[in-house]
Amino acid sequence: MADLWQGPLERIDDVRWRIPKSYKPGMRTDGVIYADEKLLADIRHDKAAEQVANVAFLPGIVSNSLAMPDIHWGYGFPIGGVAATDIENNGVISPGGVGFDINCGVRLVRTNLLFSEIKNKIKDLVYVLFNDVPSGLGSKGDIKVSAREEKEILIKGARWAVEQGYGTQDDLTYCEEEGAISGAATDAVSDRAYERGKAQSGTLGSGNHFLEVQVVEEIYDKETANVFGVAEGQITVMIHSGSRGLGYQVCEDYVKKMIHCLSKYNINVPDRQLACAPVESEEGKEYLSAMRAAANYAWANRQCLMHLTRLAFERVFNKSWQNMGMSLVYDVAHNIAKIETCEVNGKKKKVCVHRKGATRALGPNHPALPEKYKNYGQPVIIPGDMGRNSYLLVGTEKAKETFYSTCHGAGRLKSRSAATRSFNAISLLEELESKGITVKASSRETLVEEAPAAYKNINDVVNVVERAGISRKVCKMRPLGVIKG
Amino acid sequence: MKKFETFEHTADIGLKIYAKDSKELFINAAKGLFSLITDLNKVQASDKISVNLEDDNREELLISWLNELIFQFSARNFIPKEFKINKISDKELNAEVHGENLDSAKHKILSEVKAATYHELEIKETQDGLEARIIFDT
Repeated sequence: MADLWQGPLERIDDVRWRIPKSYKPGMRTDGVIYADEKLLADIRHDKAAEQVANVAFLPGIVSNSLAMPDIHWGYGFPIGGVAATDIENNGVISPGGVGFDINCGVRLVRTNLLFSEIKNKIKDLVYVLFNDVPSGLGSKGDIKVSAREEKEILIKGARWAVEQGYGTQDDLTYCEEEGAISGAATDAVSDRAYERGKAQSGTLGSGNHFLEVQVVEEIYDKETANVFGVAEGQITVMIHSGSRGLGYQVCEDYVKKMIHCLSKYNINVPDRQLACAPVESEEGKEYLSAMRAAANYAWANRQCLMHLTRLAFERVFNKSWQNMGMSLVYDVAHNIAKIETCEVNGKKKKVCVHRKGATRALGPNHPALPEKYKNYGQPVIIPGDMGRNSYLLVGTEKAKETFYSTCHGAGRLKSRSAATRSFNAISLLEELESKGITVKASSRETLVEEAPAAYKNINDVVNVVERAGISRKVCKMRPLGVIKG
Repeated sequence: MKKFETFEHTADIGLKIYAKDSKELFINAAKGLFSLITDLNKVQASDKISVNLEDDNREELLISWLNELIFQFSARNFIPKEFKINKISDKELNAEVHGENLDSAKHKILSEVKAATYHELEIKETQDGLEARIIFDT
């Protein structure tokens, strides 16, 4: 990583940079990276920009191969990559454009508790959450399900959890796809994927997965904040999780299958991890059904985690969660492929939008929005690192240029091993404690790997998407307690 | 000769593997992978599984092998420690893997590896034999 990426990055404006399609023979379109000059300097430090160019090889790609300001080097797609393909024009779907953790995503839960009232109870709360919400490497959940139920989860998603009493109808209303994307097929998921997912429902994943207790620190757009039910000084909870082993195995199964599709459909991509097949092909449809099943599993998982979070709050504050106003602001996926209708060159088209570390960000009046948010746009939840802010944004109409997509987080700056070499767990905990942040991590290793300085500054990332007009700031949260998986 | 070493990757972990031949390459890659996951010195080779795989070429076979072992660990709690490769060609692998089941009191998990990826996958012939580069999603 010592070598800087030397490819062309042409300035379009202050926050948009182009990799022209002439950069590499085989690119079907330009690459466009959303960044300011400061972030751009970081982007040159790894191979993410090369990956943006590689994604431009995908058959049927429309508009540009896009990258959000939190972009960094992934495998196949860059993390922070967005690409849409034209289904009617042999556009492809690539499992590597979704990644192993299918429907990794975040949900934001509001409360009516004020920081000023519960200041002294934050530590207790963090300990109870750490104890009651399963987390950590390979952790197994308390909510056990039978094989038959597991198939039901893959179709019903978060609705399954609500039917078991782990939530309410409102939790579904305020979730992307209402917590279950249609078109999932249980027989597209291999026995191995079932086996790998079996014991893990109701658990937090490891690595960058977390549960965070926050306080709303600053409001930028009062009217929208009001509609989203957030106000300054209020306590919120952010839950970050995905589809765990089941999703990983689905991705692995289909990347392998689709490597064979490259010669079958005569597709030329510069990286095998970009293996793909036409969306309308047998293999494409099969992957899409399996991916949707895994996505539904992740939504059920986040619903269960929210349920356990509500119970933990009840235990600490001796009040019902309804009394504490613990309802869902929204839940968004940031690793997913979706069939959506978007405008391409002035025409409405059905496209397959890959979001690999990117968040859907619908503008006002979009039919997929819940009634209450209709005039405002979709809440976009952007987690930061554990020492800095997180944001709540709102989608804009301008985001049609990114197929209604925006950034998904701070974005890594330093590798995990570099972070492990540079930081020390004890001084990191002390530093966070001095900022008023209580951290409970299931291992020192994951804690150090996720040190704030291993990430880009979230404020820079969010400022870029706001300046580009592809989403707008609603409010900023500050972490008080972090439970790391 | 060094058997493996990690290299920097922003989001994930990269492994460079060195070996004199294919057989050793597959063994060193598996050892490298599981040394990222846990301390293999604390793992007994008391249980055994068999692995039989077929693939189109040696590079893809290597990824399938590592992903099979990741599956055995994450779905069945089996930690591989020692490897006996009975048969290997560019398209086929037959191996015996010895290890033991995860015991959280005894084995500490250092990191979760989701999968071995095909990104920038390469097996090179070198003066000393073979060298492979693999990026794991962690």
